[in-house]
Amino acid sequence: MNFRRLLRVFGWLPLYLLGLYLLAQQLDQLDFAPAERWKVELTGEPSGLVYTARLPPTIGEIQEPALLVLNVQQNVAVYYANGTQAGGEGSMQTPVSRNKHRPLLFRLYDQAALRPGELLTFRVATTSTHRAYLQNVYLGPVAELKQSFERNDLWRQETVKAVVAILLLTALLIGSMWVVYPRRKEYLWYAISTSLWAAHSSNLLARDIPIDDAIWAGIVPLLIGLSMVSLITMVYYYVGLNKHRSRPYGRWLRHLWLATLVLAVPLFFPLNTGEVSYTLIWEAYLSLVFSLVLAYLLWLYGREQNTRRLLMLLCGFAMLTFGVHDAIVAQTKYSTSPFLLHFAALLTLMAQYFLLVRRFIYSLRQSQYYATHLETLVAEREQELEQRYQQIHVMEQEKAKADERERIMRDIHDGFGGHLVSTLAMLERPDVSLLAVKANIQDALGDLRLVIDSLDFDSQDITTALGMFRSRTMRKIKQAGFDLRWGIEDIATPTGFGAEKILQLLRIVQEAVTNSLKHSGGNSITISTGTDANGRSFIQIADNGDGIPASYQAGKGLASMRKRAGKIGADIDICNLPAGSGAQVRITLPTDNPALAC
Amino acid sequence: MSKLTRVIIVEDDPEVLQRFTSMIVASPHFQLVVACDTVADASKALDNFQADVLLTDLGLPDGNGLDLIRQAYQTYPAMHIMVISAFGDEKHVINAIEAGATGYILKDDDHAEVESAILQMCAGGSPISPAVASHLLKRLRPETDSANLTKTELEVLQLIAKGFTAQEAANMKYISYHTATSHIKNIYRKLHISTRAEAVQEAIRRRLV
Repeated sequence: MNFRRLLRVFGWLPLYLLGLYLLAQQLDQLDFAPAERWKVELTGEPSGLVYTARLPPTIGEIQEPALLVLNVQQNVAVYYANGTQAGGEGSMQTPVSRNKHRPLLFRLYDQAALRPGELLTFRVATTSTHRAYLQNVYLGPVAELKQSFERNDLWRQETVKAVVAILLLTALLIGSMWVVYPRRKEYLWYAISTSLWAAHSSNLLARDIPIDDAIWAGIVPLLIGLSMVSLITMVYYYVGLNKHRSRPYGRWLRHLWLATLVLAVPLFFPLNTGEVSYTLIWEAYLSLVFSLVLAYLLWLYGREQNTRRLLMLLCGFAMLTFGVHDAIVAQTKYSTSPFLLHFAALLTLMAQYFLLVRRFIYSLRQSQYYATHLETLVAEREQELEQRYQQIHVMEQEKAKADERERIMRDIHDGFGGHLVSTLAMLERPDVSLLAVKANIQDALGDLRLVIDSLDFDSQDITTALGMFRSRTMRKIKQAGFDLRWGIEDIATPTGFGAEKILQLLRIVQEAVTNSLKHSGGNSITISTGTDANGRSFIQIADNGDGIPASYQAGKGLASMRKRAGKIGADIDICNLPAGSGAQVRITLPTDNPALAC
Repeated sequence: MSKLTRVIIVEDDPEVLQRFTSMIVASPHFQLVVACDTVADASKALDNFQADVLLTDLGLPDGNGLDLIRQAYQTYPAMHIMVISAFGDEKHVINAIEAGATGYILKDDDHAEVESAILQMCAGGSPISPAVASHLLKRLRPETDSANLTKTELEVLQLIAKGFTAQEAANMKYISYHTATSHIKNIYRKLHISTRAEAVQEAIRRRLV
């Protein structure tokens, strides 16, 4: 990827990160504090457990005085100089109420105790895992402080409540999609991840917890980690199968889960060695994993830019920025900055929610489409197939026609054409004999008739074809002084014995008859048909001449008869009849019954 | 034969026309009435002269010989109609028989063959070829009421379809040659009737009548 392309695809990223940074900064400064003149100057002990503040000289003039505590870890109780409690909220004993993330407002009702110069005492209580501190305390008229209190409450409590509610709601919705489509595991993992996140965020809302502080302190970072790994698992299922019909990186995902669970164990056994807590390592680990995922998303986006990937990338960077912010806040001593990650998480989970719902709706639409259009689709496909079949059929027919045409041309060329050429040659000779020319032309016509007869649909029966041959040849046989005996009986015509094969058969018969007329020296020809002992039909041409001499060299005529017989799958047997009573040609036709074929 | 058979020839090929004309003129049995080469001339000749035999080609310059055959058969049912066929292509012969012809001759038949064919027809017989017989067997199936073949007619047709001559078929069935050829002529008539019946049925089916 060259620089120009890199700039085009990722040019927006630094600007976006800068924007996120500035946004985090702005949100950090968002404390909704009252006017500076109401701020109380606190004097505290190093332990952070006790603070004192002197009442201002103007205390008597303040209408309905009240105290506003914006930041305390974890809880505070306020006492007048005379030792009576002025205000407090929740338990100061273990388990201490957790008021770090909510503002506290105490009305100071005891006007008698509010004398200028008197000391107010703030006693702070904290859990075993957090250092006690108190900051940003204001003393002023309740009307003035109430506004700041309410805004702080809205920002630090109500907003988080809304986020948690939205997360749980989307978890419920997507979770029910998983119930409908159990195979879609991404829905399940989305619901798990979202629920875990909601549980994590509820840390900011829960004031009194039913379990031990130490365990709670381990659970909170664990929840965020599990939620993140669940989110990665969701993406793993969301991306779907690759072209090999499997999911890549399945092994890596299992390793990630294992590593996360193993690394989470020390969260529940705080080592408390010095200032560095184990949560720092944990957060570093999560940031690393998340950065890897983000790098993967970057790589994906670099390969192909689409809305889905862009959305994931935007959310991912928001989470990273706010997450790092929160990690810094959590590790900074006495920090009063609010946590921000849940906003980015909300953004991310909403984006995922949008993608999943979109996909869900798309698949619903698709199934609806198929439900209503299935019949039409099947009908269309059937029609297509039918058309293809018709096309193939037409092509086959045309091929058959072309083959037949070619065959007829060849037949006309071989027979009729040959006779015409030899007639022409005959006419060019000086001693041309008109009788020979006439005979030649009659042969040509005879051959043409043979071709036409073979094409006649009605003559596709062998006996009729032989009959037509007889009517065409009778004159020639008579003129040669021969007598024709006709011994035709019905024989079976083999299947597929069409015009071409009939013509071949007729030409064999014609050749045999011509041979008998020219060479036998006899005066009678017998053509007969019948069925032999094997059930095969045969045609037999016999003469009463001298037979074929032993010295006879098989010439062109006999060779062509054998060749033609081979073409129609018939056996041909040429022999002399016993006792010098003539020659015989027997053509045995192929049989339909394979058992009879020999 | 006391009276000469009067013949009309319709043929557009001048060589063939000349050949047949000279055959008829040379024969002691026939008298040539008209030799022409168009449907129009032939049609006029049919009305103006009483002929016994019509010899006609099918492809004529001003129309189809089949129409001429139909006209002649309807107007003069007693007339013997013969079609002149170029190659004995059976489709044409059968069309002519359906139109009313009862015989055919080939263009290259020699003198004796032509003469005997005409005489045979005038004597009440008809020539036939195995292919025509085979076609008739398929067309005139026994179940067709309008043209029911008799047993003998069927047997004669079957023999001829296998290549036996009319004479051989007559011998095998112990009937005279004349009877055999008369059977064939009857069969031709039945084909004609059957064809007309089919035409009427087709017309009724198509609501033309």
